[in-house]
Amino acid sequence: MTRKLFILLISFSIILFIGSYFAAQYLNQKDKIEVTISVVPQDSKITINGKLLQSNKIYLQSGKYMISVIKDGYFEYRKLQEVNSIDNQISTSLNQKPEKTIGQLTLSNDYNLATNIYPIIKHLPYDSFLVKIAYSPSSTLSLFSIDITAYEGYRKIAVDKIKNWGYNPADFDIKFLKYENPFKL
Amino acid sequence: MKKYIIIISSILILTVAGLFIWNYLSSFRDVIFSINEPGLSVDIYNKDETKIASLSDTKTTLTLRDGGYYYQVNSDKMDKNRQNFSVNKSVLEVIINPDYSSNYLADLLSSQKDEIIKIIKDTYPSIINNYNITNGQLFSKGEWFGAIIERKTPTGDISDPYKVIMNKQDGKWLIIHYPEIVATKYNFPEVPINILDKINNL
Repeated sequence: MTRKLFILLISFSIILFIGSYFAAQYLNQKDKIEVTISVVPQDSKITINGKLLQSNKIYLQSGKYMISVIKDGYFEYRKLQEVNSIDNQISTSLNQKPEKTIGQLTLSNDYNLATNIYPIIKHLPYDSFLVKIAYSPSSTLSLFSIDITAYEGYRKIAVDKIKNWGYNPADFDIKFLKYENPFKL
Repeated sequence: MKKYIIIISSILILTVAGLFIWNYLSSFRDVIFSINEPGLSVDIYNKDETKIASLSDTKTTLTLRDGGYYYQVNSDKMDKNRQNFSVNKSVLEVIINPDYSSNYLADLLSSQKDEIIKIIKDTYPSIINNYNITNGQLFSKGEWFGAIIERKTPTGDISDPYKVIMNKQDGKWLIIHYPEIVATKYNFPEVPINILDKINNL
């Protein structure tokens, strides 16, 4: 008898729990509009009125909502969006931020990241009387280049300096400033 | 009790011995050696400089233990410098494709030098008379040429040495990019990095 009662109680609890779940869902969706949000990149964080969404589908009452989409390396999308039975699809693509320059990285906490990838940065800028070697101001982690400023005859010395530091000049995009290649037709 | 200790100890000893044997046996692998130059014979040495095989077939499979090795070719035509390689689970094929020896490349160049110089002069007719072309060398299997082009200067003045790189395509020499002070993988993307290094060190 006790065992039967126990099984009955457990079954009742399970049914009650499942029923409550569906009832809550029904109440949550009642008189609301299903709004689908699609964003690129797909793994962006979406918030509506500051509440983080767990899926790209949400039930909202008609009205205006502050939609925010964020992802590292991209500009934030933020818009006060009217939601109603017609306007129930929100889609946006985030615009990528320009990559940080090496100069910005070396001035921030990312100095080690930059020097791990391009250890030569530790030697730069190098400025002697006749030769100046620096990373290009537009250099980024994905597009690194070296600017050399030197008089005729000393440009090779600058290249040799890079060799002396233990780096292979052939591995770098080297640009000579204030210089014109006489063989460039 | 003593009996159990003996049994457990025996199991432990056998397990440890088994692990050692398994570890030893699993460090041997079949390595395929492919010789790309017909008629070439190659000696394989281990890191202790002991010759372990001589190969002459285009494809030979040797069972080698993981570790460092090197090979040397037996031909005056080819570069006899030792070429290191290692055997591990990710290296199961060694392609033997040595460059020509520097002497052989120098012989090859002597018959082509005039043609190469003429192409350089014809490409830059307005300025080349002010420059000297020096240190010309062939590389790899004679399909790459590099030289220094340096401005003639009054005694005491210095100038920038330019690197010119040419490639033989369909029997014809081509300047693949105008000469540069430094040859990099950015201004000469078609040129293998080992050739760039050699030309930068001319």
